[in-house]
Order: sequence, then C-alpha cells, then structure tokens
Amino acid sequence: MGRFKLITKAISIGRVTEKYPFVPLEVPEGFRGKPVIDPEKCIGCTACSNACPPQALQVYDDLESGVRVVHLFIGRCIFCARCQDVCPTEAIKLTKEFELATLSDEDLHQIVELQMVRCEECGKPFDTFRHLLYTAKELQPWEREMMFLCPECRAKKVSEKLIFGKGGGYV
Amino acid sequence: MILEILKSNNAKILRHDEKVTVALVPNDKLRTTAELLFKAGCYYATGAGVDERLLGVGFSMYHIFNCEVEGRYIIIKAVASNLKIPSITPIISGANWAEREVMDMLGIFFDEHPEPVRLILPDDWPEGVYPLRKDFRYNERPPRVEFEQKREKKPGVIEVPVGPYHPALHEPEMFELYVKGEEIVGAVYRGFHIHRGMEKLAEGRMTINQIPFLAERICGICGYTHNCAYVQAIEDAAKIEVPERALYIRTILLELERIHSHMLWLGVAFHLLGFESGFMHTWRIRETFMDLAELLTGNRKTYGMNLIGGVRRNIDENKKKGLSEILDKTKKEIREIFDNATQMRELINRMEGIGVLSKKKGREIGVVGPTARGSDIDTDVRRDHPYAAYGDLEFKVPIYKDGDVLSRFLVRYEEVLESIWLIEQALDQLPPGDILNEEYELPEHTICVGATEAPRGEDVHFAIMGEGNKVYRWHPRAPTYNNLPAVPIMLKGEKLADAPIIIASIDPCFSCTDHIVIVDGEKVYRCSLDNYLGGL
Repeated sequence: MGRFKLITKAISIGRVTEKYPFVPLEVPEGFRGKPVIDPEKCIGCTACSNACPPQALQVYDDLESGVRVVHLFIGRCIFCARCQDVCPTEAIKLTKEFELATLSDEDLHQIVELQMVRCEECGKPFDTFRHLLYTAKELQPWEREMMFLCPECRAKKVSEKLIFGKGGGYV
Repeated sequence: MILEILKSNNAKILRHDEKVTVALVPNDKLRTTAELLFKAGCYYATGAGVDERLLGVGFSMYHIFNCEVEGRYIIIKAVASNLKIPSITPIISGANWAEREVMDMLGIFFDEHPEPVRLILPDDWPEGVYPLRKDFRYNERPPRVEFEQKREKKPGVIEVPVGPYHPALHEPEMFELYVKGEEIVGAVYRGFHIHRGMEKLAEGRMTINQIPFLAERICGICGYTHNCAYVQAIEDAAKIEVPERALYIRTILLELERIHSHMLWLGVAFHLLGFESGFMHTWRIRETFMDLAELLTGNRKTYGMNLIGGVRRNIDENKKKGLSEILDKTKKEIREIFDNATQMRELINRMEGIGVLSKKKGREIGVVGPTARGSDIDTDVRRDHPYAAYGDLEFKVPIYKDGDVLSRFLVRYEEVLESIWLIEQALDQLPPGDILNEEYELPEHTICVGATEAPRGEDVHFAIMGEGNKVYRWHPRAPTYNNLPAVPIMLKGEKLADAPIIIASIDPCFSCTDHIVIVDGEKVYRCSLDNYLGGL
C-alpha cells in the first residue's frame, strides 16, 4: 500500500529543485563566505595570520622597502571566520559571496600593503604606522618616548637606563 | 574493580579521576591486564603509539579501553624495550589494526602479532621510514621504492572487485569479494587510500585552537562530532569549565548532525535497494536540516562552532523559534515516509536476515554505534559517558537483537526521531549565560581522551598536551575503524547482489578511517605515491 501514498505525496509537494544558477540563491544572515579585507581599516597586527588554521592569511615584512604585506589567498581558505573573530579593528569580514570559481588565479588573492616605521636608532622597519598608532593609545606617557624604537633597540635602551641611572621612569 | 585489576598487575597509576584512568603497565603483565580488562566488560576502543623520546621515555603504546560499566576510559601504557612490545591481538582481535598502524607509522613491533604486515603505508613507501616519529618533518616526501606484486589465485573462485570507489558512497575503498557462483565465500578489505597526514600536521605546525577546524575536516558528514571530541579531550586535560549554554548548543548541533547523517544513510540505503522515490523523499527532508545548520552556524556542513572552552555563535530567540517550527513539520514528514516504507514487503525482504553479525563476534571486534546496537550490544557514549548536555536530557537508546541489515536500518530510523526529541528538549531548557570561557591555563604533557557518539558510533580522540600552545600527540579514531573489520564477516555466505547494501549497512565513512593513511594498492589497483603527490 505504502507506495501509492508516496506517489500522492510526491504530487502534492511538486518540484523542489531550485532554479539556481538562473536565479540568485539566498543565503541566511551570518553565512560564512568569501573573506574580504578592508585596506583602510587593516593595521597589520598579524592577529589573523596567527589564528588562521590553513595559513590562508600570511603576513610578511618587506624590509627593503619597509612595507608589511597582508596576503590573503582564498584558495587555501576554509571559511572558518577565525580572522573575523580576532581582528581588533573589524577590518576583515566574511561576506555572503560563495561563487568563487574563476579562470584567473589572481582573483583569489588579496594583498594589502602597509607602510612600516623605521627604528630611530638602527633604521630597521619594525612595525606599521597604523599598528603603532593603535597601540599608542594604550601606552603610558613615559613609554611613549621609546615608541619609535624597534624591540631590540628598546631593550638595549632600557638596560642602559637601568645601569646608568638618570633615565628615571623605568626604575 | 578496575583499579584492583591494574594494581594486581603491578601497574603504576599515572592519572585517576572520574572520567579517565591512565596506568603504566609492565610489558610482561600487559597481556594479562588487557585480558582481565576485557573480561571485566571493557571493550577495546583504540590504540595509539607515541614517540616519547623528546619526553625522555622512548617509544610507547597506549591501549584505550572503554569501560561502560564504570563510565570511564582506561588507558594502559606500555613502553617499548628495544622497539618491542608484546601484542594483545591474540587476546583481543580488535587491537589488530591499531597495532599494525603503530608498526607502520612509528616502527614499534609487536611480539606474536598474528599478521604483522603493512596496513596503512603503501607498498612503494621505503622500509624503515616512519612518518609519525618526531624526527620526521611534517612536509617531508621520501622517494618511492619499487616493490614486487604478490597475488595468489585460488582455483574455482572468482574475484570480484568492489572499488576502489564505492558504487554508492562515492568514497575510495576496496573490497575484494571471492565468489563461487552467486555466493560470497570470502572478502578482503583493503582501504586506507586517502591519507591526509592530519595527525602529523596537527602535531607539527598547528596550535591548539586551530586543530578543531582540522578535526572537523576528518569527515565530510560527521565532522562536528570529531571537532567536539577533540575539544573535549583538551578541556578534560586542562580542566576547563565550559559554560552550560555552550554545552546545550553543542548538543543541539551534534543531534542536528546525527539527523542529517542518518537521513543521508537512509536515503542511500533506499537507493541501493532500488527504491528511488524513497531516496528522493528522504533527501528532500534532509535538505531542511542542512538549511537549519546553515542558519545556526553559517555553513551547511562544516559548522566551525567549537573553540576550546565553548562555542562561537549563540542561538538567539529568532533562530530558536524557526528551529522548533521546522522540527515540528519535518517530524511528521519523516514518520510519513518511513512508516510507509517499512510496510513495503519487497523492501523489507531485501534487508531481513541479510548480513548478520552476532553479538559475540561484534563484541570481540569492538563494533560501535548503530552497527553494535543492531546486534543487541547496548552501547551509547551519550549515555555511558555523558558529555555536552546529554546528562540532563532524556532519551532512549534503540536496541535490536537480530544483527541483520534491517536491525541497523531500524536503529537509525528510531535514532532520527530520538534526535529530534533531544533537540526539542535542549531548546526548551537552553540556559542563559556566556557561551565561551577563554580563561584557562593549558597543562603540559597531560594525557587526555575525549569521546563522542558520532552518527556511526563512538569517536575517540586521544591527545597528549605539548608545550607552548601545541599538542604533542593527537590520535583521532573514527567509528568506521572499528566497524569495518566486521564487514567481511557479514559478507560471508551472502549473495553477491546483497554485497552493496551489506557494505553500506555499517554506514562506512572511509575518509574518517583513513585520515592517517597514504595510498595502498597491493593487488588490483595501484596508485603510486609519486602520482599522488604530483597531482597535488
């Protein structure tokens, strides 16, 4: 008997196949699609590249030209949205876009270049301007005088001050 | 009782709390300990070898037993002397694969193992290179070696290859069926075609909060339960208190995953039995569950919801309402389809009395999940080792006695309805509060284990914590790993035409099983490592 009931069921339901790709497909709010970096907001803090499980996001410094490169390769992305979670400035967001097939490899890369600050002492680029400004808010007034030193030079300076006295603030 | 057994065998207790017991057993007592544990009602869950040279121990083997009576996992550790440990396979046949895996991957040898041959590594893998040793880099590629093909012919017996792609499940595996006329007289499974080197990758380069996303990709169907098992293992080691709301959200998602997985299987079973319209209906209903998952987590399948200490997304009132509405509707539809289907004699006849697995044999192999419950083995991790919110919720564990394909079919059907009931309860009782606890300290070198009831059975993740936000060793064991050795037994004496549904009846998930494996192809099909790597 069962199968006749199933036939009537099938008729009452009708066609369930979606018309996609001829009509766009709606995805719900909070869908995890293609991640996009907002180059205006990114400060190059490397939080995303540390959190990214498949290393789709990589951050590397070009010491010659003093540029920090934030490189997103969607070919490796697993759409987990960890980058979105950890980004302090909400610069990276997952969009609703999921149709990522492309003929050109370049469409899968997004590169953000950020100008770096050179150390006052040794001249080595050590951090981006934006990240330095971002962290400056948190700094104590006496820490600001060494803001433009790279970590190595800063450590050296601090120990000099500790040894030779007069510097004050740190002791 | 368990402690007495361990102590009477001169075991040194390394850890003993309400969930896990870890004991170091001297090698000469290993076999008696294992035997006593097995007789006391603990079945063999899995085994993991560890290269502990960096910790100053040498090579060791951990045998993990599931003691349902006491609701705890018992891990017995043996340290290899001269790379040798006595094998426990002669006593517990379920340990066969685990020990062979360790032989392949770490080069520890087991005395008196009944079949000490390669299980996982392909034949063109060089001798003496052991990929899970710590001095093997995670991105190393050893050169290929030539090997000789061994192949025996038996007179009067015809060999029928099923694979290397399963005709219905679209996954690589290989069954060699030996047939006389219509009857299957023997079956050999050769799998492990899909190595992804996950354990090595996790130990080599990933941090503790990145691994959940890798664990989720062990399986394309039951990924979230792997994710949960891993996270639970780490939470167990670090003694992290997970917010209650997070536990309820995990429960809802785990059950959602079970429903969609069982619906998928039931559809595939209909398809294999030639009942195409049932297949279409089942998958149509399944689609609503996929949409629900998308709504709750942002993706249809890889939920990516867990972090150590909780979950990442909340379920708000809107989603809650939508969820219960859809559940109400689909519950009726599921009943409608399946109550009709189970009245169709021609469908039932193809499953009744086919592919029988006896309770005794099942226990010996250590089958888990619906495969076990269809053979009158009363086991369910959700009830025996309560995790997430299962301790607070009420549910029934369906058991069928016949051990045939129909029993396993009915177990899954009933579980779908139980899962809906569980989600309804969890939604109803969803407590308020935080969803993520990020304040914790990670211990070093703690041995821990996490287990969940995946749609296919018990999922065990064994881990040893490392230093600096890493794991020293992570060994996941998927349920199919325990269920597959039962298939050749089920196949024996059956008709060839029934082979597809018998193989499918354990709901095999080959990718899960093979997460640690490379390419195999001793006999019929050969896929060399070079070709494989070249294609990447």
